[in-house]
Amino acid sequence: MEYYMPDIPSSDFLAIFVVSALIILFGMAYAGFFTLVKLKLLKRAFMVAAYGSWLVLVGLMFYLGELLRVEPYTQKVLIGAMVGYLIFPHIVYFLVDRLHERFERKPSESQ
Amino acid sequence: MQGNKLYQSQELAIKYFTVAIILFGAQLLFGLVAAIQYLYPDFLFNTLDFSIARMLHINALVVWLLYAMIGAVYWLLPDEAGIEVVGIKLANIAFYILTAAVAVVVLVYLFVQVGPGKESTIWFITEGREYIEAPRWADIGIVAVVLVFLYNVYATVMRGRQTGILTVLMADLIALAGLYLAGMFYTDNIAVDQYWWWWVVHLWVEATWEVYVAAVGGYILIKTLNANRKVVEMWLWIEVAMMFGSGILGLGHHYFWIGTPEYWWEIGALFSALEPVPLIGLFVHVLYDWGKERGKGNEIKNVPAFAWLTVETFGNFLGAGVWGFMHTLPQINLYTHGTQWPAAHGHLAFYGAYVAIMISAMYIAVQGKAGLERLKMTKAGWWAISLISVGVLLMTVSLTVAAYTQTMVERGMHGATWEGYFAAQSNMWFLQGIGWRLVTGLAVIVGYGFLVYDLITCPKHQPVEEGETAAAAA
Repeated sequence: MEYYMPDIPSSDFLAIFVVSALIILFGMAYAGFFTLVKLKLLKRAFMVAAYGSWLVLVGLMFYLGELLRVEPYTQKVLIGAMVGYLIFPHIVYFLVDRLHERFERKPSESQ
Repeated sequence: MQGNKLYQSQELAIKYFTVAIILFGAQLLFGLVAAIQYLYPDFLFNTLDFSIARMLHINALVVWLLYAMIGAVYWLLPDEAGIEVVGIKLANIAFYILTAAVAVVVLVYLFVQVGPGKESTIWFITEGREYIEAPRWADIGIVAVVLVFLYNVYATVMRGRQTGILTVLMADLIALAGLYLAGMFYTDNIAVDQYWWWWVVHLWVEATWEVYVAAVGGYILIKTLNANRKVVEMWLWIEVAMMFGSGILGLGHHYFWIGTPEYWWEIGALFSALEPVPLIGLFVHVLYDWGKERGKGNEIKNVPAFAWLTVETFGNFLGAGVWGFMHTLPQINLYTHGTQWPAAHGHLAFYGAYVAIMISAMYIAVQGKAGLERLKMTKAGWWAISLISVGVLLMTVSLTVAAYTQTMVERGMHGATWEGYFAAQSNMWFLQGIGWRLVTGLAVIVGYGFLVYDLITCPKHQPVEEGETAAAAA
């Protein structure tokens, strides 16, 4: 199977580096706001910031795909992965929360 | 620990930590030499060449981390299993053999810097594989020492208490030790050679070491925050699954340009992109625990250890996650590979993922040795963590400036030619980036001085808080 990787103009390098870094940071912002609101450490209104971060993340991922000149199929896979990432903090939170619920702190269990 | 009395295994752990911290100093020293040579190529030319200084800088890092890792296991093993380590005399002998071998290998590196590449070179001087250059005789010695270590761990856990942390460690250490064998044989084809060599390097740092860190991190959380063991252990299994899931095939991002088939582009791109995902999971978990425990009056039992563990979480996320993702996809990696990008990523990722947690483990040992119920942060401790962390972060930023210049000038404008290489090396922005790297490196070295001082003296210099002074006066 032949693979093809198009050249990227050097004028796009900076945008690629910045967008890649922002993807990780907005990914963290989504997970962070989501968890803090769930823990009631932030007001419920901040959930808008969580899902807003996710929307920015999706936009950034689409833009990164454009900058990297990925094929249309790969672009769809990237956005599909972002839908998966929308669910990911919910799953992690659910797992952690259920774990704490199941093994709520008992002094004898620690140490 | 039995009261204030240490297990013999924990005394051995302190020996491992001592050699580790000395080698950490050696790593910084050789890094300083290499950083100066970037700016002044004549510096120590023909006395300590750049190739040797860089090799010693990286090898010292790998070896001191392994020392600290073995030390941390010897510290927690009797504590978790509830019994003295089985075969402790053998373990002590292995420690001295390993330390003597490391000293001989370093001396050979220093005294035999140039020479022919023959079969005997592989056996007695260097194998020439970046990061794991140790000659074959030392390789065999390392395998023997590691077998002793594995025997100690397995025999102890079989006889003692079998906790989740120890079970994960047992499985992980087998993989960690076994993978080293992949870097011990030599092939004439460099693509094939590199293929197996990456098994050691990648599957150590992005799979087995990560799992090791999760297990030791869990132990440290129990010791510092009185975290619920069952929660820690259950989460450990989830993290292990996530890390192995993304880490193993993430190996693909090293196979882009070494002559392996092109399908590695796809595999490397997909699984490299997934590698930050477990870090997000870890982040949610840490945030959850912090939020749940807030305001409950749970005092941190070892503040320096906890502070270094916090540095580990964020450093790992920034270094491995942000700086990793910036240049990991093959489309852009084509232009960044072999520039200062991997150096920028590597410095912060190694510091965040491994250095910080190993220092955290050392503070656990310091507290245990001193027999203190609580260990607070001293001024020297704050200086150490601040100077080293800010120093490494700014070093990463400096290297990123240099890397970006290389990508633009050497790769973008000149198309990865020799002419482009030298144009980038003499570019003002590259030189400034490398210059600031030297300055930030000096800050790290000063921080290291504070760290050594604090590790030795912090039990004697524990700050007394206002409430405690009043209670003492009453």
